[in-house]
Amino acid sequence: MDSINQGESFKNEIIALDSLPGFQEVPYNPVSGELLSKHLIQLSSWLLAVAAFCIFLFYNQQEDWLTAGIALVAFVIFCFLYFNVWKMQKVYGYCLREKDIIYRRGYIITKTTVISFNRIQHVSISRGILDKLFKIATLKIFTAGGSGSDISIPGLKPELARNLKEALVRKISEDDGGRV
Amino acid sequence: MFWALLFYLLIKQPSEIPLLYVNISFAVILLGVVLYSYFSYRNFQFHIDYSKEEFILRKGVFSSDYLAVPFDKIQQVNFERGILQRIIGVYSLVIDTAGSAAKEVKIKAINREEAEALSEILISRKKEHVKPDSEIEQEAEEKSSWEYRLSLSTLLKIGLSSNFFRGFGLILAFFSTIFNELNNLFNEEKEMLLQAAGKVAVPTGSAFIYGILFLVLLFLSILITVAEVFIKYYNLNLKQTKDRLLLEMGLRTNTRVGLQPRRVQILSITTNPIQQKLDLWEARITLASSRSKKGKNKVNIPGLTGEAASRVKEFLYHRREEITLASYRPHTVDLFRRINISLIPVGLSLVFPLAMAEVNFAEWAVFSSIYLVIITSYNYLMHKSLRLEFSEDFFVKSYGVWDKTVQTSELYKLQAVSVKSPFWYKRRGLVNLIFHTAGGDISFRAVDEEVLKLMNYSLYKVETSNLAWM
Repeated sequence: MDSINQGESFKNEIIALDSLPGFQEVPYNPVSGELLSKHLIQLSSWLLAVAAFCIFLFYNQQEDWLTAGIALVAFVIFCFLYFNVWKMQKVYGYCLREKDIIYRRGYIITKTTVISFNRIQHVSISRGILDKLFKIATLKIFTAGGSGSDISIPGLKPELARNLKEALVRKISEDDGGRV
Repeated sequence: MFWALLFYLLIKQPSEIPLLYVNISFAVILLGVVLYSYFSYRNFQFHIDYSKEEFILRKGVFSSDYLAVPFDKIQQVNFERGILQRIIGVYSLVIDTAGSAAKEVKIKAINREEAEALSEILISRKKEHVKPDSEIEQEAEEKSSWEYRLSLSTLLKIGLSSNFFRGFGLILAFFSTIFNELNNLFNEEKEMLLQAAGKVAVPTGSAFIYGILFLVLLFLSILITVAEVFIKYYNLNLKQTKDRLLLEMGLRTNTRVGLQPRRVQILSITTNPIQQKLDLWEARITLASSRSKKGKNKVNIPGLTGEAASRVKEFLYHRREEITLASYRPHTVDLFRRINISLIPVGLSLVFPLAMAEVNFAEWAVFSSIYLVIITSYNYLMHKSLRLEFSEDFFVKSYGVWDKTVQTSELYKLQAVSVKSPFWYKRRGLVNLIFHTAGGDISFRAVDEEVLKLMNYSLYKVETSNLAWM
């Protein structure tokens, strides 16, 4: 089995461990600022809906304290959500290395996923209505793992998304060529 | 729901003016649906890109999806037919790639010739470096180098030493359905029956009745657990051939699986203190999941002796135990997280004494403290038992309070890795890890950031390997 040969060619694990390239310190490429606008629009339409509901309650409900309570809770939640959307924008980032792609997202809980090119199953680009409005696209990368291991990078310029997709597809087939 | 509403309005015939509005709005909706269907039909386009060796699909009306599947990532091409499709005489062509069902590509209406032509192209282009299963199966029939059989006494031992909670749950589900049925049947007589029951139960002393009831339930749970073990694992026979493990078992439906080392994603070996004394180990093997083999991606082999278990492991993973490179345990914050979560039901149940007169506060306090003592000790033991180890080619997660499990997975078979750092972890320098395998995710919480070195190492193993992983 060639796995055994491979193990033998890599004997000095402890030293090598520290010299291996780290995925924490890579320079991340930011996503387009249009993504922030998209998220803000989405959130604001929710805000409008909730505000309309509160106004409706205000005119139809006898107990004002209840309406006030709901409005207050909604206000606090929305403040938090706006804060989160704003903070999140700076965390979004991706980085293509020679052998893998790294994607980082989330402010409260920052999640970084690394997918090696030789594990990518297929790639797709999807654009919603808002995406078209803001001229951005989402690049989706699928693996054979559970849905947790798939990544979708939002807020990419359409040309960039297409180029990235092409680059990834080329990487995938290169890897397969190597396998024989 | 839409149709129900329409039907209702047609039958019911309310006053005329609203009916007009309703008709208009239905007409608008219908037009919308027709237009949407038309555009979704027109925008649904697929073609084959020979130069890049890809199948390409575009779809979406308002949104747009662009999907590219490389030929050699296609696992299978299937035809499917629903009733409506039978009537119109078309097929669904399903292009199955590895991974969950959500990842398949479906072309909903395609005629037979086109479907066949397309599947022909896709299949022939797909580089076939894997022998089809049936072929190997036959060649495996010939000789076996090692064999393991489960005797009836071992089966009985497994049944008696298993976790009875499952059997207990089954009984509970059984009785609650029966109780519900009876309740519906004798709704009127219920009052009377309850009164009669009250007269009998109170003087005899409820503690005694509960005691008996408990014993009966325990007995039934054991019985059911043993029966289940017999049905599932009767006549278990494990054979090792040149390139796979052949497993046969089952009383009613005979399960027959061939396990190839290449396909194995996770190997879990479980035992509990009693079974350990009896030298009984259970192996659970998780294979790469794909749509066509749904529900069959987990194989349980109970009743292995320690020696047999290590043999299975050795065969599936090609070698024995390795030297551990690093070992990690979760930080104490993980224990606090567990305890906090277990407090939620207590907080919620506070509603009962507050809102209902019948439930008194003291009773609630007694029950919740019993619950808390049990759950906290459970959480403590669970926290203590968690361990993550890396060796040269594997990562190993061990955990378990009663049923102790050791999950071993090959590093090079990983699909992706994720690292989560919630902001309250950052000060402490902790991270949550998720290993994405083709057989499911394995996660490990609240580990020191030091572990990232090993994650880099795992990626190194994935990226330098060109072995088949499924």
